[in-house]
Amino acid sequence: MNGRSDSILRLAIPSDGEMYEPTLKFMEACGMSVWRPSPRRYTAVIPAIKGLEVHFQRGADITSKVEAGNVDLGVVGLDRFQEYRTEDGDSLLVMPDLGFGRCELVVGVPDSWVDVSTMADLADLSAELRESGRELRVATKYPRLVQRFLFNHGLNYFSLQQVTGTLEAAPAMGYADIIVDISATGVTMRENRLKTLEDGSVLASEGCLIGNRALLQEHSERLEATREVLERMEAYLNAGDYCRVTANIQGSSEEAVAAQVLERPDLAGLQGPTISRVFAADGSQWYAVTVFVHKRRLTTAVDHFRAIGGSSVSVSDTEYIFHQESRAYRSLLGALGLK
Amino acid sequence: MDIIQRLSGTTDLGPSDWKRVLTVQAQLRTFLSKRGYQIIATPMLEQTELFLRKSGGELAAKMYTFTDPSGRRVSLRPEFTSSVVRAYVEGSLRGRLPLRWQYSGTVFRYEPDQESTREYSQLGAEIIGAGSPEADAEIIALAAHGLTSLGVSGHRLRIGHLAVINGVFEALGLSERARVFVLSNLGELAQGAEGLERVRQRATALGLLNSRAPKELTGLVKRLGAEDAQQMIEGFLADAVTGPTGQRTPEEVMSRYLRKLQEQEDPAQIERALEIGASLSSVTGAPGITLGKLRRLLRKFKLNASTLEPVEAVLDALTPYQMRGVPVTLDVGMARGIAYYSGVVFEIEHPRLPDGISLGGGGRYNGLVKALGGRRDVPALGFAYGLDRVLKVLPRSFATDFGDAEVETLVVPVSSANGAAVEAAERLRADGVAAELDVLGHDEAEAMRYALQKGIRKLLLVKPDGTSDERQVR
Repeated sequence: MNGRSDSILRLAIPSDGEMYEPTLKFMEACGMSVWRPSPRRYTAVIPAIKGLEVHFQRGADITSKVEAGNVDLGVVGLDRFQEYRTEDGDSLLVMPDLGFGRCELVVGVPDSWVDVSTMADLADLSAELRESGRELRVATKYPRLVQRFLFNHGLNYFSLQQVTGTLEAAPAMGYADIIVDISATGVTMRENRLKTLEDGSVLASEGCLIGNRALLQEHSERLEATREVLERMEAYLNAGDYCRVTANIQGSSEEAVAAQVLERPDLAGLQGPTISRVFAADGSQWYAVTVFVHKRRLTTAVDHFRAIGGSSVSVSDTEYIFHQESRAYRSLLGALGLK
Repeated sequence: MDIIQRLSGTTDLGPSDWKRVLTVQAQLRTFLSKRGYQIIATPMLEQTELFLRKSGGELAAKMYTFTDPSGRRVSLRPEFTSSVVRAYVEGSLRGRLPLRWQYSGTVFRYEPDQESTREYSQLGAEIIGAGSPEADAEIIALAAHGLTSLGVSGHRLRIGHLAVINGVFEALGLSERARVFVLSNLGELAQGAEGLERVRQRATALGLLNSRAPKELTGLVKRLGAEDAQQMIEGFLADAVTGPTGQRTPEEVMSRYLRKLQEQEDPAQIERALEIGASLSSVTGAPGITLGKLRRLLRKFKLNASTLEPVEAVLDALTPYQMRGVPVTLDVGMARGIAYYSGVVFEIEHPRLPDGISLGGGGRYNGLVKALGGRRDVPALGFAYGLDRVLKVLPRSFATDFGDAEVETLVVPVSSANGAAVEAAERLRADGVAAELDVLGHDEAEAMRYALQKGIRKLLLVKPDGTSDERQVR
């Protein structure tokens, strides 16, 4: 392990590939814009967080940099983390679903294999190929994950082909029979005349935050900076699900209006409605009611407001929601054995 | 520099533990060699293919497999039988049949669970070229009595036989695929209704219990002659099977599709096999009573009870061995996985080990010689102990008699009399006295303290002229 003793928290983020742009956008949305003095520089800072240094690293290297202790934290795709981490190594998953970089690692077989539709079919086929002295050739960039997946599905006879270029073309070019690759939409597979199998999903992946267990245990200043990072990420992710709904409702008193709103406790906000008096020009009794509701339930909430006499319903996005404490930080402390 | 840690699943053994291992090995080696089992050794590294063929792939996920610098796929051995049979087939170890061999050494199995052991010590025996129930009984008795000879008590034998379940498969006309499925799930089928339900779900997921192709199509294909069916399928699929097909030809794809339709298993037969398997697995106990129950059960399912004859033959052959204090349980639902077992199978259990963990086990694997390239079928069977587990059930009184010497004398050079001290130490050793030489330049007082800590009783202080003084350590 790297013996850094300073108090700077080092965060690695991808410098290449499909995760590069979304990670920077995500950081910005969390109020942690990354300031890179020049595109050629491989370190940067986040002015909003004191004592944090950003290191741009190749996506494929981030897991090992975190494990080796070169950096304390890293933003990386779950696929890459699962593929590259050593199982009793020093890395741990700090925050699993950052909400971007979603993709799926799937098995793709030639469209023309009309005789194969499930993993069990594929296992049978591999045994048959073996009997005729051949081996099912699997092209992938994720040998560890794929090997485990195939073994778990009773597929024991195969050879993994290490491929660096575009995988989808491997069956057409003849150096593999099937592929296991990342697919965001499945379009590339179809264009290359490959089909997915019904139970052929190896892993659903998205961006995640990982950390070095030993470093976070040892350095309290870095752990504190980590808390700040987590708070901001979590508050942003919390807010993404909710919106603020405000409506004017006529009623005799704050209590009476509150009682009406609370008829549907599930639509009455995180803790409950905020109610304040509206001083109407004509002297009528109006109250402004504000609740936070889950975006999925927005129309239901609006309908409820209308049903109890609400008007001028306005809806706005919230940028951040901080709960009483950061759940991600609490579970990190648990994982570090510091609680 | 940071500390490099031991890999998980491996252990370091200190002198006293290691002496226990060596003593157990030595005693079992003598026990086996008195019964004609010659000691052999096979490589720790073999071609991956060897173990794949023996286990039917079952062990693939647990093997330490890698590509060696020459580009060959190799594995650390996960067990011995494959290597022993390979050595026989290859002709590198020969002799008049039957061959009785014993072996011991380390095997490796990767278990994803971090707590699990991954490096094991095994000791076992194989008999190649004997297919009789008497050979079965010899190996079973060997496995049980070997432990007794170490002073282990409380172990039990669980004996099964593949003849019964194979008879069921035969009667139902199950395909190879369905047989493998039922065999590998027998253990779970023994766990009552819930087990049966779980296995059913798995069978459904694998498409064994529900046909994927519409009945009309499979019916049509079966009614048509082989040639007509092929023409029909090729006509239907000609346009679908275009584009890349990997290393398969379009004809291969189509004929496999057709074959799947033709061989579409009758789900009712598999359902029946699961039901019978579950019933058979649930009947276990003392051999006499269990045989009676099994006979009634087979009759109930309208199956031929003659498949019980080989089981009875083994049990009969075992009688003269007097299984003193080792109770026998008959369990025909035990399959020990899908590895090449073809007849009797057995495991040795002990109340001090958790359920499902055995001290060792084995069975008959008549097909293995041919599967590894032998020209003819040669019957064979064997067993192996997991020595790490045997160590856990040794009696407290187990004495390690490894015959290593205890140091009696510390030879200490005085005034740099190193040459004279080496000579004096060698003289003592030649006289049968274990002696250690001080190489740190200790003076008498320091040497005395050192000897006291190490439990060495005598000091020999050697002067440059070769003369010496003896001191008792206290």
